[in-house]
Amino acid sequence: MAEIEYLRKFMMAQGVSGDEGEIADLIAKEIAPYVDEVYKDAMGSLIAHKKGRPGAKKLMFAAHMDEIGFMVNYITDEGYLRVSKMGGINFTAASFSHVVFKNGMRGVLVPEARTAVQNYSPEKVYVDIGAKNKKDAEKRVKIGDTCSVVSGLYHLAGSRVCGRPIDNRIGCYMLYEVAKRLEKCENDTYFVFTCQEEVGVRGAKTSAYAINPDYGCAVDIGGSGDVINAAPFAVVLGEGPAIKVKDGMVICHRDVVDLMKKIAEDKKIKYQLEILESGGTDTCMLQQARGGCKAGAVSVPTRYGHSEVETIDMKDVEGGIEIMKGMCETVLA
Amino acid sequence: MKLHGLELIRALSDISAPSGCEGRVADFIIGQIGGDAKTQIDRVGNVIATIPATADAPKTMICAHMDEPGFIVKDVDGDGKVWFKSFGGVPSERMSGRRGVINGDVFCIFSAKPIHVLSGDERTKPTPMDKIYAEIGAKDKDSAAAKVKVGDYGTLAPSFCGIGKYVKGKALGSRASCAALIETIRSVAASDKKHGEIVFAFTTRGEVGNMGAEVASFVASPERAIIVDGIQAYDTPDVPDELKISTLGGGAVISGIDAKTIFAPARVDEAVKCAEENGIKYQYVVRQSQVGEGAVVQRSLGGCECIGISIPTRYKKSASEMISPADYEAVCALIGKLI
Amino acid sequence: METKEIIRAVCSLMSINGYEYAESDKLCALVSPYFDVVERDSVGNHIFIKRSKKKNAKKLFIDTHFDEIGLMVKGITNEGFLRVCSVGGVDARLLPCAEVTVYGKGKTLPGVALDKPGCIRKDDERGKLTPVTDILVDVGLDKTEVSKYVDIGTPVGFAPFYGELGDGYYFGKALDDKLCSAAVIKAVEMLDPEKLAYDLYFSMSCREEVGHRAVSAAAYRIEPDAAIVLDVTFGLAPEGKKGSDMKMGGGAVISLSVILDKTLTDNIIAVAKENEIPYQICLEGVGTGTHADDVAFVGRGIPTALLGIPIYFMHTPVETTLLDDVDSTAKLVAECLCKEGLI
Repeated sequence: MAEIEYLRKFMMAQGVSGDEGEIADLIAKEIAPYVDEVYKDAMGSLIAHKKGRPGAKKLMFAAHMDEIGFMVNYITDEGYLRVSKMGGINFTAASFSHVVFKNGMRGVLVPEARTAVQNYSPEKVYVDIGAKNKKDAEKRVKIGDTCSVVSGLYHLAGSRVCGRPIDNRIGCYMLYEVAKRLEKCENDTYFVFTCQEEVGVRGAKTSAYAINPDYGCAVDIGGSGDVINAAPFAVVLGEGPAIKVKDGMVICHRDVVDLMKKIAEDKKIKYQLEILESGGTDTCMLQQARGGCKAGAVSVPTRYGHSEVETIDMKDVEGGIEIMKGMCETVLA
Repeated sequence: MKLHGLELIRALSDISAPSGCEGRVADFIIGQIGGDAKTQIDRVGNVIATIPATADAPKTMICAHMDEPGFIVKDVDGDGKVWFKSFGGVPSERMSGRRGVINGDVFCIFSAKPIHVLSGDERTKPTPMDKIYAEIGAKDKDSAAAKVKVGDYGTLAPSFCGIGKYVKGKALGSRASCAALIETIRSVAASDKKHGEIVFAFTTRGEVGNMGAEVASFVASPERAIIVDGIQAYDTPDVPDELKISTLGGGAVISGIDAKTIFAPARVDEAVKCAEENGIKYQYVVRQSQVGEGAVVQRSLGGCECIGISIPTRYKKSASEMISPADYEAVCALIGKLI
Repeated sequence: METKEIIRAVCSLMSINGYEYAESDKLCALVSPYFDVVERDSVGNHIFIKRSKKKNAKKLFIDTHFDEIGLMVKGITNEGFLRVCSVGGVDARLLPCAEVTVYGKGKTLPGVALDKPGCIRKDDERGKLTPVTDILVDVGLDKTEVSKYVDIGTPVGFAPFYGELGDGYYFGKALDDKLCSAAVIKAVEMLDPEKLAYDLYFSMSCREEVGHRAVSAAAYRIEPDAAIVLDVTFGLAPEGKKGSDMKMGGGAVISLSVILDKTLTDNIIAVAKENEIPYQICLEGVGTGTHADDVAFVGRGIPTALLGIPIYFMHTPVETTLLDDVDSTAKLVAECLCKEGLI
């Protein structure tokens, strides 16, 4: 069964887009015992390779390890920090939050006084680290440093948990679990923890090019149609992982969708099918690498994405891990 | 004749070579490089200058785009007026009533609607781009057709000059970057410092989506890359410090990020350290202000470690782009030290 | 001199309103050789006089306005940028990133005009032109350095660029109305002094663009027997007014208006016909919007005619004329000056 304490460990390491060193090092350490080699590419993605039989097809899993956050771009005379957004920040959700820097320093992200909620934007918010003035601030932080809203993971009722950044440490954790549980590796398997997904699916592009897989499978958070006033959307929490059929940037390969469905049915895992109108994940980059590959994705139904209370059901997570494990154990042609 | 410094920048700025029609500037660059590097023009028009490795070090690509915003002729009407479609993002209010050039030698004026027929609303708004035509002074359609035809390319007219401590001209940020590359090639060729293979790419179509850089990095497949370009300086009055992005005279800009690129942190730190150790004036900028060639170069093939070094430029996308010669020198010095 | 050389020499002089005497020496050096006397009156007009060899010749007053639109420095920011205001109707459409010249004390400084940067525009300022009053001028110097040459009131104009275009067109700044001044100079240059039928009082008047403030003083003082005013007019462009804008290449423009003297106008038309000079008629109705409106009813009244030259892109740095039209106008003026019985 999925272990929440491991997930928590993955969530507590920091890794704002472009600055994934800490989380990458943690994953590298954790996954190393279960794979043949672990290395980083030029962009900063982490690749864990488990060799298959000679002549086996290449199967690439991708979970992005970066999280949305902020980068300091200016220090005001008063010692406040102006920040650039790294990824799709919901400023209403992020305002009046604790933020934390890599060195552990705390700050608060707040809007300028007298700013209407609908006007919260990168230009209208700043980080207060409690510095007395610019000089004091400069001793503690420098331009280019990253920070994110403070991480955390909390139990809700039953098997549901909430916190951040579930997007997408849940995916990282799931790949780690797949590698750990794997008994029979039929394919040449790459577990790739990609960088810079939140700023435009950048890291998956180069790692997919370098690996040149035959099959690709991304794992990321999805949406959930069971919140109040949700747009019509068939996926809900607790009804099993979602097998992606399409999103705004990809139409998954039929063979992969069918394979995932078959594995789920054979293993008696509940699953749902996900059709998203907009948005995208690493899946599209897997599909388009070099001559293209057969790509699909597993999504974890998630409420309140890109907030500090992203909410999922651990039962869906367990199902997703088992489907991906099944893929590894299937001889791909 | 080989030109240097401001003379080189002036000559580059004054060449009319819009995106998709970079031949004139490409020829000039190849002439200026001469025998200092092996040059070739690739299939999309990039000028690729290669200096072979003298040591076992990572292959580096240094990249600057050589095109500029411009327009393409879509119609020559019955009165000999030339109508066009513009590209590359020069706002209409920086074209209307100014000078231009078509095919490198046919001068034109971008029309401004006569003031006596302007409505009140039109007096307060820029003229829409599709209402501006190029007046080439043709008496009739036949005369116009002899000089200009549909599909011809044009740009703003050359206008390089000194402004106080600074210089201004069209396409100045990017062409000064090209000059920096040319001067770097010369200094590498003249020095016996050991280095890995260096590919200098003067790319096409940088103003319309960086397609030239995409191909250049695909072909070169470098391990490291330096993107050189002009970066906005809003260091003018009434702009709060936090919105200025970069400052003229503040030195070479080393970028942490741009709108679509997070530059390789280790290489960025190295550049900052290099500038400090060598006493090169620099400014470290973290702004999602513009989309540079970094986005495509960094993520070509299996990716490379990419940094951005830029020349602060006021009034980008106008005939009056302004840079500081001191910043240009700093950029040249920094690139020279980095390789 | 060639027509275009005269145009360039006259139009490139700085004569922004209030500074019509700033380059007076250069103007006089250029124009005086063709005249007997030059007078500078107390309001800013230049009057060049050429006397007829005939006895009791009548006085003919020819007016062109010599002033040009421009900007004036109203302040210097701490960064050394200049804040400016408009003198005459400077068109806000032309200012973003325009090349300008700052006519400082003992030094002209090249500069760039800038509109409000996008990053500090309020929502209702987006997609709009920055009013002239918010325009800044960047001369690339620190405040201390700028202050050596520039003070409140220093004039700023579009940078002078002149050039030929296509089939005999010529462009540059301030053709309005110094192009007509150039045409008159050309006319005087080409005429045979022996045949000059009138005492010519050629006024290069000032302050037209700020409300026709000065020409009356000259006309009143000189008390001419008749007047011919020349001003540029709109050449028909694609978005122009069909049927009222003049044709480029259509020749000298002769205006008809109820305020103008019909006999004098008819006589001028007859001269054009007689000498086969291309001309076109512009029907003005009542007011002409030119100095003719002011001159015609000065003192005891002055019979006045109005001629013009069509240009494109009026009030821009690239006002454009067709040199043939300038030559036609010069020829017409020259023939009129030699025509007995014109007035």
